[in-house]
Amino acid sequence: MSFEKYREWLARKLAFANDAGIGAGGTSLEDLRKDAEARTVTPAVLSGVPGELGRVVRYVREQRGWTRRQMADLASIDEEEVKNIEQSEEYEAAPRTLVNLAELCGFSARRFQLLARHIVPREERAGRMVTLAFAAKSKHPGSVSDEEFEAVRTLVQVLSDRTSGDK
Amino acid sequence: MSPSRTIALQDMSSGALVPAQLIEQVDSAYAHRADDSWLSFIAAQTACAPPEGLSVSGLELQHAHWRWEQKVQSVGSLLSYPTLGIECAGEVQGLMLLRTDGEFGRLAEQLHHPIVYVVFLAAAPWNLPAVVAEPRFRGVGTALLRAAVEISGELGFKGRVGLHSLPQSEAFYHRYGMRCLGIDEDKERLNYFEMDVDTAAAFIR
Repeated sequence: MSFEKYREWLARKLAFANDAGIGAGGTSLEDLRKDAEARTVTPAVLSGVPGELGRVVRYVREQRGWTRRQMADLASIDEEEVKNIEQSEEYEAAPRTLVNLAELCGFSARRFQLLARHIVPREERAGRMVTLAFAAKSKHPGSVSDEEFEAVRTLVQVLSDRTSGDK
Repeated sequence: MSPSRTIALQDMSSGALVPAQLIEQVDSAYAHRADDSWLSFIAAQTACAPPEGLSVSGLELQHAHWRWEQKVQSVGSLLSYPTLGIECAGEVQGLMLLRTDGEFGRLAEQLHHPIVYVVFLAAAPWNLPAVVAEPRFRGVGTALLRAAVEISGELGFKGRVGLHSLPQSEAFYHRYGMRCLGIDEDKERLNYFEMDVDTAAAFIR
């Protein structure tokens, strides 16, 4: 909205209702803190994100407090790419996009690229492989169960584990 | 600096609508700056005689003791808790903290539909008639409420917004067609107001 249009809108609104002194509140600082701690990254954040790659990206983005644009800038990729990764399971991101995003998120680039091709990392940790497969097979993009959410968290951990030599 | 866009406020000294900046995500340093200037302004007002026609109790504002820095720090950098600010004439004119995730409608027609919840909203004390005889700017609250409605729209929540109104603000929310759903004990006994989709569309039109 242009400044002129905004000005015209505000003039009409101020003629209709005086907003002097309006406010809202009622939440105690303690409640706010508790809620913020509990939801550092919430399942609701991941609802509407269909694919496992998208969920992992969305998770890290929320955790770091980045907007899509900020994330794209930091990874030197296009904002549209972040959006596509988060919104479409079928989107095929370019290799450079994946490498840059992995770097930004602190992920193993190799594992991240495997995940982008819906390939569950095969090596070690049988327990985690099961979880990864579970996350990959989520069939309810509209909502995220606690189990699915845990699976995404685990997936983020596995991707972040660069100690096993495969950067 | 976080993205900002140009909006308008009414400068009450001239009556003119002047450009202001809506900052879409402020950090705790910014909130600290607001606390500094707002609290010292209130302290100065309290120290001198109350303006004519206003009782000293007028200064006992519900949010006179708010520390925005603490609020912003509490929510860290969570995307689901954006804090917006309005900057004009080199000062912070208003602040609003939203929760954009995990809040749901209470009105029958939007029961359980996601909404944007206004956790805190306040204008700078020099804009409040309860503090000064001649407020400096008008439009701060209107602009912040518009921003909340717009964010609700961007998130796919269709403009649905809920909040707990400070007692002196209820008439304003009523006037715009927000409906009051009664007092909540755990929200300092404030009345809850909610905006439906149609009311939101009319408000930003």
